[in-house]
Amino acid sequence: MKYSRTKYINLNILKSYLIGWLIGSLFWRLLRDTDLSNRSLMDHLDVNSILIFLLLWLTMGTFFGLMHITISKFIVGRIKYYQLIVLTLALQLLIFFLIIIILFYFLEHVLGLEVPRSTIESVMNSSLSIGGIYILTVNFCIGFVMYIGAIVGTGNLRKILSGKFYKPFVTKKVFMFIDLKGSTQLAERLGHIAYSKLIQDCFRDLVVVHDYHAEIYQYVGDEAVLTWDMDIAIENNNSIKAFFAFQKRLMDRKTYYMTQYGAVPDFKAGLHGGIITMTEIGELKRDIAYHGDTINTAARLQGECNRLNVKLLISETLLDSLDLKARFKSTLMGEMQLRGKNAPINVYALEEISGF
Amino acid sequence: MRTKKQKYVNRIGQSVIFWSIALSLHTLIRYYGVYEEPGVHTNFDFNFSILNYIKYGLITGVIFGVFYGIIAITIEKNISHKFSVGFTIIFESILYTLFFALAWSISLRLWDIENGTIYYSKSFWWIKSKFYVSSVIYAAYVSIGLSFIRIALEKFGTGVFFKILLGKYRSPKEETRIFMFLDLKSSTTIAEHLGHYKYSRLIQDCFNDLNAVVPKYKAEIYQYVGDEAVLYWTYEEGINENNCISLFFNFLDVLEEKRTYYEENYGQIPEFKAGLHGGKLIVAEVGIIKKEIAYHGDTINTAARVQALCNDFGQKMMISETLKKEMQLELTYKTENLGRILLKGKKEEIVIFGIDQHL
Repeated sequence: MKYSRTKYINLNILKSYLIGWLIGSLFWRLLRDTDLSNRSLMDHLDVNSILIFLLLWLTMGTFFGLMHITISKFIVGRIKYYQLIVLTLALQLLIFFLIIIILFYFLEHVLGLEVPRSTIESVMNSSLSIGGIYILTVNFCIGFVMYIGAIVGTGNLRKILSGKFYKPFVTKKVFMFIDLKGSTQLAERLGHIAYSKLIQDCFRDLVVVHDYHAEIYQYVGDEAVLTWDMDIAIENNNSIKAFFAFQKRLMDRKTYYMTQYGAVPDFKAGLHGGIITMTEIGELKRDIAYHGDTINTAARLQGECNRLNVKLLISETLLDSLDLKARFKSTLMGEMQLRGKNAPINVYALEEISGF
Repeated sequence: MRTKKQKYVNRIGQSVIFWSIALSLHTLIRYYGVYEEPGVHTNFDFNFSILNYIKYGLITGVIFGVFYGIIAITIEKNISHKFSVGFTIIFESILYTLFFALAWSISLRLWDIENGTIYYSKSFWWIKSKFYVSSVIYAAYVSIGLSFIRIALEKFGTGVFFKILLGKYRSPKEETRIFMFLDLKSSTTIAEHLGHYKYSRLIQDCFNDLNAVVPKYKAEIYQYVGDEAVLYWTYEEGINENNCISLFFNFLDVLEEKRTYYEENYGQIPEFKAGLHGGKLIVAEVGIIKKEIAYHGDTINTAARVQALCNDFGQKMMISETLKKEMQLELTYKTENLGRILLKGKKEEIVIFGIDQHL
């Protein structure tokens, strides 16, 4: 199944909130009921309390997830950061009170359930204020974990936690270096702040590559480094499609870029795959590093794009393992001598045939 | 040695702060207004104020924070390198669980003394206590949270991490920084000679040594790009006591001290070269699914290009004149004016200097 860019992100946000709130709801009962009441988690599993639990979990997860999505779509970037925080906190509390009131009214009066006194009456006393603090805490934790995931890279997070890369690890990967064309001139014309905003916008649009299972490894100035596992990169031509999808995304937002920056940003890319060593580096500042010719070759290919005046350069080795079908056209551009004693490799330019 | 001690103290401090907050929150959520709910049956006196409960949560948090920090450091130093990850995690969890019980026992014994009760004066009260089980589960989850925070701190360094949390770089900001590009000399030849696996281990070792000197000179590591590390300072801290120069030569000294180790394992001592430049540049947070702090501007490019020239001039370290003028180097270091150079992609020439230690 393939989702569009926003759908993919939104579904991920929703998923995180549902998982987060499942843990959050379990914790609430665990903390508050264990050894204190006869409503404890294990002792009292009747249908009503399970129903209440499920409803609370699903409504909390869904509504806070939707709130996050709405805020990041319509509000983030339009108001100051502290205003955003105040607004978010207030909205969370408001949603919480509404959910509690509506949910228990619904259970009691619409479903006609015999709800224990612990519902609306007891919820409306001091439980409500501690509940307010609790939902803020849970939502903060969910947001925090998602944020750290974004910073470290979701795939890497699990691997770092499990210590997988402590020793170097040899694997097959495909790398793509994407770089803004004519960056020096753009920076001079726009001034540094506006230029930086332009890069921010471009890398926000770069999110489309996640539809093609790319992982963004690093941003180096105005350059982004993408990686795939070899089989994923080849399957469905993901690695090539990712680049053209990014270009299409930029063209779709042509009007925005023209009005904001007076130019539509144009990117070039180098693509190569092969064996690479992956390892974790540093004690204070920890990161994943790749060593080997494969990554250097991809970087070199990107550097050649300007000279050959093409947008996407790919090595023969990787091209051979792809099945381009009718959608893409490859043109031999000549040989490239790599550093070291390796034999020169053939490089090809790739184009998307219009009409697709 | 002093930095290591400092590091451990910081680590224990972090852990104490974290667990105090976590366990205060635990008691707050557990007890606040719970008696107003129906179905609550308890032996406790209802007259205790919530602050009283939180106080004991806090005490437990402080005690357990100290235990936790010490256990984490000991395991990291002595156990985690020798055993598998699975074993380490299980071993660690058992230790934490026992010391968690000890922390609760100490703090609840205090409760008993203060309130004249006897609930927790038995040594093994916690073995059958549901309350203890529930707080262990809570603590287990919360400790995952702590490792997340640590990952983020490791990635950014404390200062930048909090600035990011506060949203400082969501829109681009201009700042003054000093950048250093540090690169392994003749890396291609070394890689061919060692093979990629060994080469990767060499880089790991070198950068671990680099990590050890970085805090002493108030530097932050921005990024590793292959066999290159990018470091930065705020302008004042970089100039202060020639920090940005001393770091490099201290790093070389450390490599020299470990000469036998490097020769035995890799057949050579790694050599590094560095390029330095300082000035204004733009700092901005980029990306959605993968976020990072990015620097844009001439300062960082110039530093990179100065470093790239090291080989041509046969220098270990090169620095721009603008930055050199800010420091008094002549007493401690040998400086050499290399003249005006037009850097790649730049319009104006800049004067660069080579720097080395006196023999």
